[in-house]
Amino acid sequence: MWMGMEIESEARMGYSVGMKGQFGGVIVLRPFRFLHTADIHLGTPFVGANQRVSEAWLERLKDASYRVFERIVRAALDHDVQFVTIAGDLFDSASVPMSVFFELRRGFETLQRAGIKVFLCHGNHDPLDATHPFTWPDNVVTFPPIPASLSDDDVVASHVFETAGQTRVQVSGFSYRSPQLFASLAAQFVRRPDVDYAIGLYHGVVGSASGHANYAATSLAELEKRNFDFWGLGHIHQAGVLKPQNPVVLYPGNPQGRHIKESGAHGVYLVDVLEDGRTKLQFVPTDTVRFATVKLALDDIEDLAEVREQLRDEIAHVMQRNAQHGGGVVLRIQLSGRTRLHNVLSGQEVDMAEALQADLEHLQWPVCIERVDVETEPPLDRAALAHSRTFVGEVLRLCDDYRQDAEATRSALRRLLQDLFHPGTGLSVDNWSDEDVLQLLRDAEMKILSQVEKAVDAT
Amino acid sequence: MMFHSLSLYGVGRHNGTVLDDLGPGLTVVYGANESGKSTVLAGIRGILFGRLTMAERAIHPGRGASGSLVVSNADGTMYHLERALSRKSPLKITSDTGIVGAGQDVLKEHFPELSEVEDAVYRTVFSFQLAELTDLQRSDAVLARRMFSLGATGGVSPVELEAFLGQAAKSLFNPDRRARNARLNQCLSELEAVKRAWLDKRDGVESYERLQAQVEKLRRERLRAEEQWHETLQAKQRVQKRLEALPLHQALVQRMEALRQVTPHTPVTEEAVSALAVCKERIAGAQQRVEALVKQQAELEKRVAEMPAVHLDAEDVVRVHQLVMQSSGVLQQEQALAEKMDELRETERQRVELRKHMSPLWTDEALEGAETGSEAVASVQHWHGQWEHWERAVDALERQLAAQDRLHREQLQAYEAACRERLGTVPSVQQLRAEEAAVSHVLERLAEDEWVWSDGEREVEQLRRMDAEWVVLQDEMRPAQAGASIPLAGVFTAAAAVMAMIGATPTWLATHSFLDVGVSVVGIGALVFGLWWTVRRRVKASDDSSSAHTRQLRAQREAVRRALTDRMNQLRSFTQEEKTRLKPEEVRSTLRDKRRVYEADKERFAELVALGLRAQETKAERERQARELADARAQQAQVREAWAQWLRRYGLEQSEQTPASFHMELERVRQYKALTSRLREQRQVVETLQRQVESFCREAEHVLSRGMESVLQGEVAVTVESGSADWIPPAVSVLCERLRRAEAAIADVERRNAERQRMADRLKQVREALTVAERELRERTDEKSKWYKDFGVATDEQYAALLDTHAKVKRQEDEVRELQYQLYGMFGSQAAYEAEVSGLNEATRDGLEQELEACEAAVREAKQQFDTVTRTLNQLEQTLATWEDGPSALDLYWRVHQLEDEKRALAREYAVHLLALHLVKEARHRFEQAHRPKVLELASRWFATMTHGKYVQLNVHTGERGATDLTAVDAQGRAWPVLELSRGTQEQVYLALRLAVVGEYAEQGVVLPVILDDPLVNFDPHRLSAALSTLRDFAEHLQVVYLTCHRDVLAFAEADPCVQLRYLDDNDRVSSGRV
Repeated sequence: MWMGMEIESEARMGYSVGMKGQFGGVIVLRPFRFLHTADIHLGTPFVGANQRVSEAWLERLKDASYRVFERIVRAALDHDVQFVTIAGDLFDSASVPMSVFFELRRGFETLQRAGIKVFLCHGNHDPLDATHPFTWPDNVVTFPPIPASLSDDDVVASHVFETAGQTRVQVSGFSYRSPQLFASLAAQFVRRPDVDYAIGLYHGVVGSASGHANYAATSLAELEKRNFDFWGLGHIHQAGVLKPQNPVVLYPGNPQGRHIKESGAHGVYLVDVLEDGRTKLQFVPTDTVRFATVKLALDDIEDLAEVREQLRDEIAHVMQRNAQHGGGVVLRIQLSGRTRLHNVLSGQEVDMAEALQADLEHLQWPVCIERVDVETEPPLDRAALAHSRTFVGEVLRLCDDYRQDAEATRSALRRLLQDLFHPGTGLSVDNWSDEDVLQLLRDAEMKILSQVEKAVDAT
Repeated sequence: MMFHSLSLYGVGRHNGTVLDDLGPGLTVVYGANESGKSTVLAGIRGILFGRLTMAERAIHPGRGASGSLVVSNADGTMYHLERALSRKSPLKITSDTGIVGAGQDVLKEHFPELSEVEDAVYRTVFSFQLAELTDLQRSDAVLARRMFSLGATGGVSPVELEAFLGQAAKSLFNPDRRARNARLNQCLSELEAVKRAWLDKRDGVESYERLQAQVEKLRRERLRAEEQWHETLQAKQRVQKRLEALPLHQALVQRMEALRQVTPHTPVTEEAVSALAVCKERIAGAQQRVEALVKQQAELEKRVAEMPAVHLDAEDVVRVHQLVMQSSGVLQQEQALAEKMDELRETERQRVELRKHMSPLWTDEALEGAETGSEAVASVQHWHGQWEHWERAVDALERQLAAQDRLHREQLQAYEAACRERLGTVPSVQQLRAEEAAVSHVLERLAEDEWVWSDGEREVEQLRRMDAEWVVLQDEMRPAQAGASIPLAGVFTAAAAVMAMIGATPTWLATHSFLDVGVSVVGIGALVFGLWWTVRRRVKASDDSSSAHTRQLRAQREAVRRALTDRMNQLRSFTQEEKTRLKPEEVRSTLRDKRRVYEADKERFAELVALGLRAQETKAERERQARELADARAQQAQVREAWAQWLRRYGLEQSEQTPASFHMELERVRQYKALTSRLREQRQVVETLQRQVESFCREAEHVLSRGMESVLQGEVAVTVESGSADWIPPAVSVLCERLRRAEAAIADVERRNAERQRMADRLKQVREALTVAERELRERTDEKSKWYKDFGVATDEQYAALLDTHAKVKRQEDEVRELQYQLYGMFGSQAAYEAEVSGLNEATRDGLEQELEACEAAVREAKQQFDTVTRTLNQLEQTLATWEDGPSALDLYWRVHQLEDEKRALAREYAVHLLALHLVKEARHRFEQAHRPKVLELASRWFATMTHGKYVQLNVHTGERGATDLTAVDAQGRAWPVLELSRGTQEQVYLALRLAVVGEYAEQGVVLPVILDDPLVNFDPHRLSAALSTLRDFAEHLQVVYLTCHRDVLAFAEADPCVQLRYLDDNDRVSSGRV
């Protein structure tokens, strides 16, 4: 059973009134339905969630990753869509196993047998240069890349076809030739005059998107200028409707979350274009595993039993939120706060995760504890310590100095980690953002304070 | 913070204000040992920080122990700090304005300097005693950290932290690629291997799909080839079947034709034939049964006729059974009778034997008469007792008399021997007793003389005892003389004087002449008389009101007075001449010697008298026993006379019997009578048994001779003859045997009768069965005739011919059916055969053989095609399986990402550890730069002052492992490890370090009072003076309290006007000022 939320757009296609003619000012279209998705990342392994999970959960995660396209195909068939649009990043990388391609081809063939077209863009994860030479069935339309030397006259490729109701639909889009593409290509989208409904497929950043590479960055205003009816975006993994009308602009998000930062429901959008020109959006979840984070502040807690009880309550709350989902939940536990339990919990993350997992399995809850982050602090007055003339105060002041200068910290890290962070190991300090570096600094500071606190406890 | 006063309650020996009027500068508190100086130190620590060390707890035994401090802060505000020290309780803080609050936090609010100083630091740096002086570098983590923070010692904790972080980082990653234990190294190695495996798998898998498609295609082809092969095989099998079935089919056609030509002429059915056969079998059976029954009937009739019936009387039979059952008991009775007879005869024999040994006195009548016997028995028993008693008495007395004679002779001999040995003659006992009395009299005189010539001690003792009795009497009289005001004090004073004089008498007598003694005695007598006179007058004055008790006491007093007077008179009886002529000592010695001689004589006489007396006593005893013997012999003669009279009474004077022999005779009489009684009883038993056996025999004879005569035919009859004992044993046993035989005969007759009855019953049954069998034979014969009529035959021969014809047709039909079944089997079913019939009718063998050859060729071709495809498919499937063996590319791909995740996580953890390590190192560097030199500079300065410039500097170095190396540099620039310095110099080092640390704190605004509990006791006067001067200078802007018990320190304090002095005295209060 497919569940989803509906977002109804009140948009009217003003430009199409003139093109189609009208009866008493009312636009008349033959309604049709299509499915928009992006960032499927086929073959993606789950980041961070597969290190210490049980075999059963490992199989479950693999199934969630490799069979996501099968679920999209099923959604398309169940909802009787006329075509499917994919706005980039179909594969996680060019090096995904061959079986993923076979699986994908079987899905395309299934759609072909149902008479469903597929409009496919390649994104930064699956650029055309790196993709396996594989021939898709005839129902798959792959958008070509734009020329390397882009000129103002260049336009992206468009395909015009008639739906079963003889509505002429234009679908325009482009593929990434290489993993990096930074120029905005919004201007290369041109609506053809003879179509009833124009759809633009755009894999890139629209507006601002923190945490994502700034590929093909453009703005919502740029897209609005293109007179398209629907902008199916890709690249941002969190679903969101940027503009519900005139035109509809949305990120469908990836159909299956891949790591803890991609929490919440993930799926595809069913787009119903109605007779009166309105667009009705329906979100259809396609994820079988969801990610969630439980944060618990232990400021007033000094008993591990109470920690366990509160965690169970929080997890139960998460389960309740995802009660209609029916799938499994991968949880990250984040413990914070200033507590006397800091020294007990610190360094016991793995044990605690295993204990919690055993606890939940005993309850038969479909929950997998991905990780337990102990971000608690010892019950020390940091401000007072930092102002004291003690050695710890000196350490804290030094930390504060580093905190003020992230680049100095990064340089120090480069120097300290040069034995390990080099191309041979695939590790680089530069891959860390400033936030990561600051978090690292904070963890180092906590490590020191924990030892200080342990020494105090020991005395 | 500054202390103003300290009060301790129930702490150690303190129970009130201990110190007051404390101020800035150096204050020396002087107190002797055990005056509670250490308690003061512990009290201050306890009030400020609550926690006490184990040693300090021993100082606070009281439950209500508490302490209070009056302190002021930097603003000059006064606070009163109070805490119960016997338990964990919060600090209570009050000020002039009221209660400020409770707890350490509140204290730190008002004294922020305490926030900078941990408990351990205050205990070690600001308040310490001698034992703690060199304890600065102990492994106390808090203290070590704190000291390090002040630069006073090495950085133990930071270096430990560095070691921990370095070790943790190394456990995560080791740059040496050969290291295998580090987790990241392991991860990287595995990642490399898995990635390589995955790439190998991925690069080779491109043809996988093509291969798989080929396999699929070949599988389909193999399926088609297999189907074709099966089709050709089936065609070939069909032709083969036709060829095999052709001869059978042709034979079947021929048989069916032949069968059609045989027409059955009689309607013979299988059922009818079977029914007739059954009928015939039943006729034969019935005939056999009739014959057998007839034969059986004849035999039974014959046997019944041969066995006549015999009648048995039931009552007799029952009686025989009963007698047989009784027979065993009767046989036992018979056995018992024989035994009783034997016993009876034995008793009779014993009685006759006994009678032979009895005296003629006992006639049969006498023995039968119980009264005469009883009288004789009683008389004989009486005289036997008397006779025996006096015989034994005379004998015993004669033996005693002989023993007394021997004893008397021995004693007399001993007496005479002793007398001759000691006196030379043998006087009588009376003479000896007179001599003894004379010696005793002489001894008494000697004792009197000796008493007279004694030195007066006894008299003095007597007088003293009398005085004591007199005082007691006076005390007892006092209540009786209520109201009488006797000047007893004067009397007692006089008596005491007399007593004193008398008490000196022995020594005085030894050194003075008799005249002096006499004068003194007279004086004493006058005094005593005066005393007596005074007492008498006072007593006389109270006579009117005295009671009987008073009178008694007065009588006692009179008696004492008289005794006293007698003694005084005796003393006075010696003339002066006698006292001059005789020397008392010689007289007393002579008298003592004489007394010893007389005492020896007295003892000798006493012993001889005792010997003589014992001989006399023995003699008297012998005479008494001789009298008793004579009496006993008289009694014995009387008894003998009486016995003679008894014998005469019974006419036995010639028998010369004694009571003893008659007593034995009487015993035999008793035995004779007992045997007679037993004989009588045994006869009764024998008679009873004889009657029972005879009764049994008579009844048995009656039953056997009369009741069962007809049955037993006289063979067990018996005749019983009574009246003689000899017949019984054989008759009884014979009777019992005959009874058993009769019982067996009865059983045999009963068995024969039962057998005859059974045969009669069987005969009856046979006759009934014969009737039934004859009836059935008739019915079956009629049925057979009916069947023959139906078959149209009259005789058995005609019927057999009819059956032969019918069997022939049946055989032909079976052959046709067999052929049909074979053909059905060949073709699988009847329908399949019938479908082939038309073809078979038209087919020929040659045609079918040609068709078969063509089919075989097609099969070979199809099989070859199938094998080719299968072979190819197997090869491809094997290739495919080779690819699919081991982990799939998908699994490897997943594992690569797993390891990538793990690598990133471990790398991050490693980065955290390295960064932490870097932070610690850099912070330590900064810290040491900022702090250490200043403290060391101060310490060096104080140290140089205390050592008068012998040492000029202190240095601290922290090694890589956190070891602290403290050195002292002398004036010549040589560095000496502190541990190698003398004890006194070491203590100077640590005192200087403490002062430096305190000074450093003070510069940071942390100003706290310093309490020292005599830490300088090991210093020589020179060093002590230097150290105290240093302390005085150091305390210029601080408060230092120095607790001591040493005079040198006291002298220093007294001499130095800048030093305040307090005394810790016994009144729990320090007296201020100086001496």
